[in-house]
This record gives sequence, structure tokens and C-alpha cells, in this order.
Amino acid sequence: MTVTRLDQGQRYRPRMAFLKKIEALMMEMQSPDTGIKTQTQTVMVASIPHAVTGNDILQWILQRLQITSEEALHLGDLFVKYGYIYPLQEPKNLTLKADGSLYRFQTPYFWPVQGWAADDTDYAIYLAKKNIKRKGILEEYEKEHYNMLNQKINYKWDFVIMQAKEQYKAGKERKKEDRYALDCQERAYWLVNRTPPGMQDVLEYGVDRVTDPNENKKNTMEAYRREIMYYQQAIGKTRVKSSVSLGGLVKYSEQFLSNDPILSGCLPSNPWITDDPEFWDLNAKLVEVPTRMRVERWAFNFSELIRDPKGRQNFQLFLKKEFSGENLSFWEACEDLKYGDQSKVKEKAEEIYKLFLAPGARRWINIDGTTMGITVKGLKHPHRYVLDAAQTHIYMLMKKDSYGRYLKSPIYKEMLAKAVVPQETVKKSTGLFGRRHLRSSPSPIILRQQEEEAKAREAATTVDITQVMSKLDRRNQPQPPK
Amino acid sequence: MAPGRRDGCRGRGAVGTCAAAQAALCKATAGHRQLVLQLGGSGDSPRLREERRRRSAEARELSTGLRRVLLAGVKQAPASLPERRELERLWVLFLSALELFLQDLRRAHYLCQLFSMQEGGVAPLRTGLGGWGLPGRRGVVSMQPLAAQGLEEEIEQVRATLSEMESGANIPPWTVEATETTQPVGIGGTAARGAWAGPCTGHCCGVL
Repeated sequence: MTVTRLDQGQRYRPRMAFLKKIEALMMEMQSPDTGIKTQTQTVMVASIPHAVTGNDILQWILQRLQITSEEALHLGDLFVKYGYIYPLQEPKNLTLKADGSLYRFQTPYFWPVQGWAADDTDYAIYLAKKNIKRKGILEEYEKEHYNMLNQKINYKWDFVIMQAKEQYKAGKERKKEDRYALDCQERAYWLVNRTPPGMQDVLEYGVDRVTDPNENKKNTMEAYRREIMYYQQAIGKTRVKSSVSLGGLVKYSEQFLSNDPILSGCLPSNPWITDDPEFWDLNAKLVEVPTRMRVERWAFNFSELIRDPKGRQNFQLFLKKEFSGENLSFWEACEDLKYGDQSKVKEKAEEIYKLFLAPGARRWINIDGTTMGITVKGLKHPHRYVLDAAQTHIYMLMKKDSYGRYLKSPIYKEMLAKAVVPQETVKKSTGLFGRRHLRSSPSPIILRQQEEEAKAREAATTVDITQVMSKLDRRNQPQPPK
Repeated sequence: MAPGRRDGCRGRGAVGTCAAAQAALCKATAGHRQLVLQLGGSGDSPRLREERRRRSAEARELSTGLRRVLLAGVKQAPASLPERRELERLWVLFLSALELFLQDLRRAHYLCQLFSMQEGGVAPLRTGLGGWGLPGRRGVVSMQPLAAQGLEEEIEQVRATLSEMESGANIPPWTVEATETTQPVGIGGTAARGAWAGPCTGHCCGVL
């Protein structure tokens, strides 16, 4: 009934070999001859056996392992932190004190075992038990956990409460001293496994692993076959020489150095330093006149052009002249499908098909037969990536074909000439005491509305060559005899 | 527990008196857990292990009965909606108890192997707990290999029951709402209470 997380094959704790080693030492400590001497702890009127002083633990470790006292203290401290020994007088202070402070051994049930981690359901039962015992005794962080677990495993909650009540009753049947010891044990366990805020969680080990470190690898044919397949796939992966990839990085850095606001400064001024937002105003998404640096960037590579909305706008003007405006519109529609409102995926995909892909569509895009086949087939069950193949094809088409001509076109050159180079201003910010007139930029919602209106207008008025040509064709074809 | 009670369940409809059997199962698993807690500690003894076996058998018997009744109830498909809800709730309750029980059985298996009661075996940890019943530790040595096997059989039996139940009916666990509305503890009183009104609109009877 436990709803487990999505199984990505990672469910094993990494090897924690030290656990077994500590356990071995713990068991040695019990030996009547060579182990640690125990005392009796007096709690109110009861006396509970098997208490050990911190100093005794330290001395035993020193004697047994023959290490320096610093190391021994550290090691003993770790024993306490991992929950193998718990302090009696200051339960929340999980450190080893080399004096007469009393400790006791934790029962093996509560040892941090490699095989299983502390369970949420168990924790919920423990907290519920504590709450039943005395209402309001839970600490702040425990209350938070309690409420969170209530939401997380709400369907199990009846069981949690029932089981907590039964466990509480079972505890009451024991004699007082045993009950006290049992309570101490359990509390110590949860202090280690659900650390209070501010305490270090020593059991944290990072991400779960895919393979079980405790599994005994069987030397079967099947295991070897799988291993061979794994290594073959690893060898077969495409690789790039490091000289090539580093060369690419260097080229990128050199090209973009002048555009980096930290390394090369930005005109007119860096808003974070001078409090002057002119830089952002000049570089707004669809500003009338873009800056020169921005327009020059469009010539670096195709992705720079296409990711800049102003660049796309300018490019679209060019494509219209070449009668291939539908390509960019199709690309933009695909992006909207991928990243837009997913509840409308089906409708969007249908519209895109009707407008761009269907035979005789108003803005039919020219893609090869195989890609068209795959796309149409995929559209039967539309999802956000269904148009990926077609989109890539069109992207490559624009990049290899239109882009080159665009950079040489008068449209781009005109934009470059119009582009503004802002003057550098050394306006000092007047600091906290000057009253800056802060204009707020237009609300993103309004901006988005404006964009969509512009898009709708454009879509309605655009006439592509295919439409015109098809009209002409129909006019020229011989009329059927009436 | 007694055969009579199980018949009563079938007679009055699956939903009827399963609650009592469920409570008994919870009690048995809670007792079992407390015994497993002491394995390897100063409370460990052959008598404790004997007692653990007894509790485990009791729990398994209860679970067999409950399993039969619940599976029958699901096959019959109760007509009314509240009855169906109650059946689902009992279903989830039972499976949660089984899971916990299985977990404890596995831990018991591990601990019994680590701390076998044989002569010259590992000395148990001095955990401060009194021995269970008689102080004598030198118990029936010859029972050891049997004990390990017995535990493995127990684990297998419970595991089989669990997988049978899970494949027996398609009851998604998250559809069940807890009937015990626990007051959110402490922090943010009114805000949290408002949040609770939502999920527990179905059947809120007891307040803890």
C-alpha cells in the first residue's frame, strides 16, 4: 500500500562498509571478559542496568584499537552520532564526553542497517504515539513532520493511529523500568534518523545508487552477457576529441567577449551599479530600434538570430520578400506547442496541421515525404514533441538556406545602420537618500496580450505565395464543360 | 480469530465486523514488533523468540481470515457507495498492517541470524531491558536451524498474501480518505484547519 516513488532504478544506498565494522566492535564491547564494565542508572525510584560511562568507552577504544586519544574520541563520538550508543542524561546531545556521563547501547533493531532506511510510516506511528502519550509534547519540527506526513500518507492515517494506540498499549504492559528503557531507545533512534533542525544528519549519503552494493554478484552467463552489452554500448557512444571541444569553447568566448556585460561593460551603464535602467529599456524584447551590439550578434550564428524576438521579426520581413514566411511561422507555432499551455495541445496541433501541413493548406510548408509521413502519423496522438521532426527540418532549411542570404540582404543592412549605439553615461546613483523616480516596466501580461494581438493580425493578413499561385492555377485551368 | 467471527463477517456482508478482526491484527503486529525490538538485546531469550513465533502465527491466522473476507467482499461488489468506501478503507488498512508486519518479519530474520542463540554465539547487547520471563539463556540449541527456516516460511507466506491482495483488486490507495481527522498539531492554527476542511469532507467522524 505504500505509494513508492517513481522507480528510476535507483533505490540502493551506497556502500557504507563502516556500518558492519562498527557493529563488530559493538558486539565485542559486550564480552564479559574484554568488554566494557557497566553500571546501573538511577532514574527517580527505578534503577536500570547496563549504563556505561563515556570515559569507559573511550578507554576501551584506546585499548582495543591502539590509536591516539584524539582519534579515539572522534571515533567514539561517531558511534554516538550514528546511533549505536545513546546518551542518557542529555538525550539530544549526541556527542561522546570523556567523563562520567552515562550512555547505553542501542538495541540492534534500531541500528542503522545498510538494508533498510528509516521508514516514513514508522516515523508517523512514533509521532502519533508520542502525541497520544501526552498531547502537545511534540517539538516544533516534529509537529511540522507530523502535519506533513498526515498529508503525504493520508490514506494510511487510520492505520497509523490504530497502530500507534496498540503499540502504546503494548508498552504499558511492560514494567516501568523496561518501558523507560524502550522509550529512550526509540527516541534515540529517531533523533538519529530524523534529525532536528540544527543537528547534523550523519546518515545523509547523497543520491541512491542503481546497483545494490550488498548483492552477491552471481557469475552466470546472463550476468556476463549483460556486462558485455553494457561495455559495448559505452564504447559505441559518440565522442569528441577534447581539443575540438576546447577549441569550440575558446572560439565562443572570443566571439562573445565584447557582449559580456561583466567583462566588457555595457552601454549606457550597468543598471545594477548605477541604478539607471536605460540599458534594459534599450534592450527590451520588441523595442523599436535595437542596439548595434544586438544586431551584430545576429550575424554570429543562426541560433542567436532566432532566439531574439526582434531578430525573428526582422528575419520574418526578409522571408516574406522571399515568399518563405510560412517557415518561420511554423517554427514559432511549434515552439508554442512545446512550451505553451499543455491543456490545449490537441487543438493547437490540429490548427497547425490545418494551416501548415495538410495538402492544400493555406501556408503549406515544404518538407520531405518521410518527415511528413512521420509527422502526420504522430498527430494522431498529439503531444508536445510531436512536431519535432518537422520543426528540425524547417530549422535546418532556414539556417542553411535563408540565413546566409538574409545577412547579405538590404533588410538586415538597414537594421544594422538604424541600430543605436548608446552613449556611455557615468551617472552616479544618488544612493539611498536621493529620490529616484522609478518607472515600472509594462506588465508582462499586457506585453503578452500585445504580442498575441500582433500575431493574430499578422496571421489574418498574411498571404503566402502558395495561396496566390493556387488561385492563379485554378483560374488558368480549363473550366469543366457546364 | 475464532471461526465463528469469520462466518459472522460473511453473513452480514464483508464490511460488517471486519473492524474487530482488524483491531486484533493491529494488536498482534504491535506486540510482535515489541518482541522483535528486543532481539539481540538483553531482553533476548529463547522464551522471547518462542513468544515472537506465537504472535507471528496469531497475526498470520488473522490475516488469512481477513484476506478471505476482503477478497470475497470485492468480488461481490457492494452496491451502496458508503459500503464500497468502507471496503476500500478496510482494504488499505489491512494492506498497511501486512506491510508493516512483513517489514518486522524481515528485520527479525536478519537479527536472528546475527544473534543466534547458540552456544558460543554472539553475546547480546546490554540494552538495559529485563529478560522476558525466565532468565535462563541456554535454551533449546537444536532448534536453531529450524528457527531460521521457520522465519523464512513466515516471510514467504505474508509476502504471498500481500501480492495476492495487491493483484486481487484494483483499489488505488490514494482514493481512500482517513476517517480520523487529526487536528493539525500546533503551528498555524486557523490556516491549517481551513486546509483540512477540504480533503476530509467525505466522512469525518472521530477527532483524535
